[in-house]
Amino acid sequence: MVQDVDENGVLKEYRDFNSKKTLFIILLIFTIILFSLFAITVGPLDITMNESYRVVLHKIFPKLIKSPSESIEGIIWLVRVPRVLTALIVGFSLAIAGAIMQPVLRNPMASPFTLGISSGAGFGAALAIILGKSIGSGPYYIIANAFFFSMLTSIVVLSISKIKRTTPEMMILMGIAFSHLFSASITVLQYFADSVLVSEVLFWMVGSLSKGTWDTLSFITPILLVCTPFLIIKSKDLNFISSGEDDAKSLGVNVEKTRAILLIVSSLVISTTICFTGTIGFVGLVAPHITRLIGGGDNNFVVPVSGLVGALLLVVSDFIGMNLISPVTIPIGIMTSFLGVPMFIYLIMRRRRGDC
Amino acid sequence: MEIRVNNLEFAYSSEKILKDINFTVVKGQCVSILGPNGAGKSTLIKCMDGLLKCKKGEIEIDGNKLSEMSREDIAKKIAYVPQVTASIFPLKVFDMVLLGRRLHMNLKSKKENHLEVLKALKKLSIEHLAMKNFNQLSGGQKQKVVIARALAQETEILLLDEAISNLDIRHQLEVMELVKNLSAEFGITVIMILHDLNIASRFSDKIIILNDGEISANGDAKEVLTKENISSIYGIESYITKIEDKPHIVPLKIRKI
Repeated sequence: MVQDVDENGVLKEYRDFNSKKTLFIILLIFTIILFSLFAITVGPLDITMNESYRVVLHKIFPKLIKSPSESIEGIIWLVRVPRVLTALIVGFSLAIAGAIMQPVLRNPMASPFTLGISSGAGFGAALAIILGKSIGSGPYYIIANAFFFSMLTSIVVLSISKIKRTTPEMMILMGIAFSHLFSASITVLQYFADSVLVSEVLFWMVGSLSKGTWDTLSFITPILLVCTPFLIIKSKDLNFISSGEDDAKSLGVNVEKTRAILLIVSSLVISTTICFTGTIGFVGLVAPHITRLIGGGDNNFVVPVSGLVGALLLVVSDFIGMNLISPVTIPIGIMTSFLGVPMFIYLIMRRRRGDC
Repeated sequence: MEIRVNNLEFAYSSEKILKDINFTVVKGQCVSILGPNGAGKSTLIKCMDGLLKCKKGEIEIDGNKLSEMSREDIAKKIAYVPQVTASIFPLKVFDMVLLGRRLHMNLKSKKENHLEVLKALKKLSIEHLAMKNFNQLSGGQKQKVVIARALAQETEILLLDEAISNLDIRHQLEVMELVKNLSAEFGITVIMILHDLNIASRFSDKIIILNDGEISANGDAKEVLTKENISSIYGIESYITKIEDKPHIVPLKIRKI
């Protein structure tokens, strides 16, 4: 019966299009796994592939496989594996957050940091480093402060927009305004601070995965395991919101509520990651655009797949950053910008031709 | 579905856009709203879909107050076609129309929902556009897609805000015949904003003319589309004849004051 109605093959064409997207997802996951497995075998120290994988297998099946040596085990299991995992998880979360921010704020230039979250985190860190004032204590006193101020920024922006019923454009402008306020505050703190502390703030703000340890992962992973599936499920309403506010409402979407929930949960995801890694730019902006160029703008596809693209981008960027002028590691925050800017310019060029 | 609008008043800050609007639309009626630019037509339609909250008065859908209904409740009863829809990201036409199935998604299988999308595309004879990018369509094609989306919503009330303004004459008639058929055969209540007086005359069971935020005429085409009304509302002199028992307006010149 379906065949009779579908004499022009519209449904078939639509299904084929969706199958292609599924195939792409499978290929992407394979690439990520293969590249990650490759990345843990390469580094400044000469460790063979065989040895690297024996460590990993030893950790999974301690009784079956013996570890090559304790020092190799230390490098692979305590440095490289958590670093690759952190790159994957951070890339995945930042890209998903970006993929959500863009349609929610109805702006293709939106990124996870559009609402001023990263400068909020930077300010929190600077406050902790320079003045020693933090809401946290112990080893996490910088991280806790960075998290607190980044969340505070997005909550303030969201609350103002809720009270004043502002448009997404006004929210973006407010985010920019807060970014400048925090940047100025960071500069003031640095201006009067000791030069050692100034450079510590600077180093903190440049995104880096060197803090990617099992400890960090044990903090980030549980929050992301709850938040990202939630965001992916909730993102089914994004197609409505990106088609216009009145359209979305008339189709039964509670736009204000959906927007607020998506923004607050994304902010939580972003704050959680950047308070450990510092600002890693461009992934959250570029990954969704790459995904759209490949599979179109259906947000049910764009949000989860952006996550995969972001994970791959970050693990590749970090790999290049670590091995380009080895043994010196270029921080990931710099690598993503160097790789992201040319890519972004290319995308802008494509947009002009109406592809995006 | 019967719609009653009682003493509706709407204002942006202090400027009153709609004043003392009262009318009733019964099930299956096809009603046109006419009036000069800035008369408050779009505002009225948006109030009727609950997109704008009216300041005074109430709109009732089969006795239920619109102000007390949730967005989902309203979306189950009313479909709305706005003047312009612009998706900021490239969405396939098929996915765009599928948005209309939001509240049917969990009730029916994926296959059935896709089939309904296809039916809606066919009703507007745009199935060949299904895999095109919505943003790359012409203005008229976009309007048809959004009308298809509203049909896919399967509501008993359809609100159209200048939904045929970008279509060529053939496609205008195609959409009007479709809409007329929906109301006559399936009992769907249609309320549409139009600019073309002759199309309104030909296809509406009832015409409401808004002027400066107030209803200045309400009735069937013969009662409403008179020389005097058109002169006082639009400020033009016209010649009115009859074609197939419906008034036909030929605009002549601007009325000198």
